[in-house]
Amino acid sequence: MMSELWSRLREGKSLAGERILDNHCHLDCRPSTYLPVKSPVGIVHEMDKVGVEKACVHAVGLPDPELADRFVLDALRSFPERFIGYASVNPHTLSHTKSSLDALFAEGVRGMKLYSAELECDVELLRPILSFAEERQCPVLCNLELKTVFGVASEFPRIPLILAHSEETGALELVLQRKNVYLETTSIPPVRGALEQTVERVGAERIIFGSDAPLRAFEHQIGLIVASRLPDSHKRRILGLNLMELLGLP
Amino acid sequence: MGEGLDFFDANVCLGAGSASQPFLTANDIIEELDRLGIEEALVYHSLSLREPDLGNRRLLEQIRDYGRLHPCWVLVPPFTGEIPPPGKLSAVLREVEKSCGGRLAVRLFPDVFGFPFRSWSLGGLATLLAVFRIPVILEYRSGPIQWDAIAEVLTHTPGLRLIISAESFDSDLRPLYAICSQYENTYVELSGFHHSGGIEDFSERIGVERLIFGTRLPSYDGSQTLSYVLYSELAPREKMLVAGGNLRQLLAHE
Repeated sequence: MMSELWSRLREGKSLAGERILDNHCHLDCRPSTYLPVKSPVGIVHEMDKVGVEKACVHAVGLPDPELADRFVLDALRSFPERFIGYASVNPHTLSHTKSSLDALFAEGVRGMKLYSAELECDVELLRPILSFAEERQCPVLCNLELKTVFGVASEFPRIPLILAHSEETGALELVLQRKNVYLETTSIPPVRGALEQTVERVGAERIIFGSDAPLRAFEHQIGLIVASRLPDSHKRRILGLNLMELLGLP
Repeated sequence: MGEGLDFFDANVCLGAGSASQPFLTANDIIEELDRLGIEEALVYHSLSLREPDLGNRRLLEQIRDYGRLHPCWVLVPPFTGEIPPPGKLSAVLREVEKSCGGRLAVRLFPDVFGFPFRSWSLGGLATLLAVFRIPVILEYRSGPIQWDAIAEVLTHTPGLRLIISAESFDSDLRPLYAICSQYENTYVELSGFHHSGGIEDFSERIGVERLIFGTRLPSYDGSQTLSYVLYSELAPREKMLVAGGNLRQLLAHE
């Protein structure tokens, strides 16, 4: 029997009504990249095309973390029902403090993205930020060297750590070894059969949908999940149910 | 399939070594096309990336009985004897075209074979393909020099119908738009074109008739480009052009 989700996608019908939560949406843009859509209004329009309910937004690409967080807060104020804010934390400049994070969370931010631009970073320096995340048990989207995440996962087992853009072979091992580590779909190559193989290895409950929009269109990335040979129950977990649980959403 | 779209995939590879789950037979391709709801495909052979002449012939043998699959020959410049010289090649291409109902394309991999995509390096190949109106799919790899090279070849051979294909046009949209704006015989194959709102934006600025559906199967999962087209906010007629109409017109030499 054909998957209900796949049937809807093949007809080009919106998947609205499904709980689709995107863990990885940019509000920043690299100046080197022309993006046809980049404003919050435009992004919400793109979400509506395919039926994304909510997207977690950050702006780690901006050089000034304060400005990045302001982008996120502005988007949250404009679309409180559609966006979930992530603090844009640069582990090298360490501009965030416990009080600045408290202030952000008071305004509706619910997680953070740690982005180190492939530079090694010191877990010791991250400790105040990680302690905050542990206290809140908020998801942390990690675009970090894998060995850094290994260290963080061991020391902070109560923080849900989500691996972004981590196609290194050790990523799956890390997910298997540490119950608090999840794999974002940006870490799974868009190769035929790769998602199914990854689910077989780590389980659908450990995979979180992240599109990397607007660098990648929402529907482009959702297609990979929905058209896979997985049962719909697995697809729904990956598309949103896993992240809803991590964020404590109803 | 969404709104009766008749998909024609410009980018499928047959043969071992092309991906972790390769298509080893033409039937493997057909099964995946059926699963995805794709009607036809242009296919090249992975062996052609080692031995173009041998791979091209193997391709014809393997897809001969499959009317939904059409050959995409991999060619290199004619100076090394790996393919027939332009004089003989024209006869060979005519022969192949006849045998496959006129639907033939050519694919160039300058990076794989280590030749500059420049007029002097292509010899008479670009002119021959332009005269024959055979669509040429160029495998583009990121690097600014390539855009200059593309502009040079198109200036030198304005009749060349060039479909630009890439694993990702991640940071290349500005030069891509620039090339397509200034050279009317250029087209974009969609397997590496993935930005939010990209199809609509390109269609508005350059033209919907310049977009060509392609999946890059089996290296990529075909569902991504498929969804991208299905959910694009184009008029039904425009969507049909992107899904397959544009490629069919090119292959029909229109």
